Amino acid sequence: MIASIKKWWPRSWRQFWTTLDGRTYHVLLHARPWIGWLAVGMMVATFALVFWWVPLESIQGYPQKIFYIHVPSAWLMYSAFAVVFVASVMYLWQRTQLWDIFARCAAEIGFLFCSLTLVTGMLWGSPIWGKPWVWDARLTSSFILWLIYMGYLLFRMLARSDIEVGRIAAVIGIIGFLDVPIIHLSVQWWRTLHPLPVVMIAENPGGGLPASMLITLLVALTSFSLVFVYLLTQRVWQERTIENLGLLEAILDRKAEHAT
Amino acid sequence: MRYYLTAYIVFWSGLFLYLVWLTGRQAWLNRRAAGLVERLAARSERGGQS
Repeated sequence: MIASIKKWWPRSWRQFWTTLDGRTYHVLLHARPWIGWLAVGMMVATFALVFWWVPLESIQGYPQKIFYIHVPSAWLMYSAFAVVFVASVMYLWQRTQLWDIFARCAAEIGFLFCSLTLVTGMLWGSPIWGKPWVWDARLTSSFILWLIYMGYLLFRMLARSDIEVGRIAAVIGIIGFLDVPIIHLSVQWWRTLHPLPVVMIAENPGGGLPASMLITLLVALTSFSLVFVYLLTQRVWQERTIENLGLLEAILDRKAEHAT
Repeated sequence: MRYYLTAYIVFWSGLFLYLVWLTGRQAWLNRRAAGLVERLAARSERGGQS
């Protein structure tokens, strides 16, 4: 018993992280189809709640319903860039290719949802503020985040040397993430037009919303989280497969060269 | 109502386009894997010679 524990027990932090990273990755990989179908089911439930169940807000009317895609998109964006941050730190520490792939795929999904957050926010701002965009602290810092990760993705697409790309991209990913807490706290630090938080209030969590709106929002947050996990595992699997195929093709090419 | 519907259409279009791109990439990956399988099969038919 003790011998088997000793055999299993990681001998260093590096080995611990490698084992954890491998196991988590394999569990997620096998659960992928289930996560996908669960995400579809939860998305259907979310939109059924938004369209038919949750009541209209008395002051804003229909534009308030944009809130149920705008806030979860922002949540997904935060989560994706947090994954970029962790994966980039791990890549710089361990230089394992899997962390670099995680960072790249999470940045791509984060960028998509950052764009959707900005656009849905503008579509809410048009009827409520009378114009789609104001250079408010939260909007400006979100736009800066969008620019940073657009730069990150463009750099990854256009740069040449593979080893340097991973290292430099990891540094950009880490620095870019520093904007996320600034975005989140901007409404408290500066006087802004953007509404204050209604759910994450320290003294009364969730107390800023009626029960029906809070339930709809929580269902939306869960479904968007599942969508994120599904998209990320799918993209990581694709990138890993591309890498493995490339390796096999290179071996075959080399053997063909030796044969001729 | 107009902005509300536009926001949902934009959201679904964005997600849908990403899924289309993801599916296209998967199809390309499948073709590439099939090409590799063909190469391996041809190689084994020649008795391990490329």
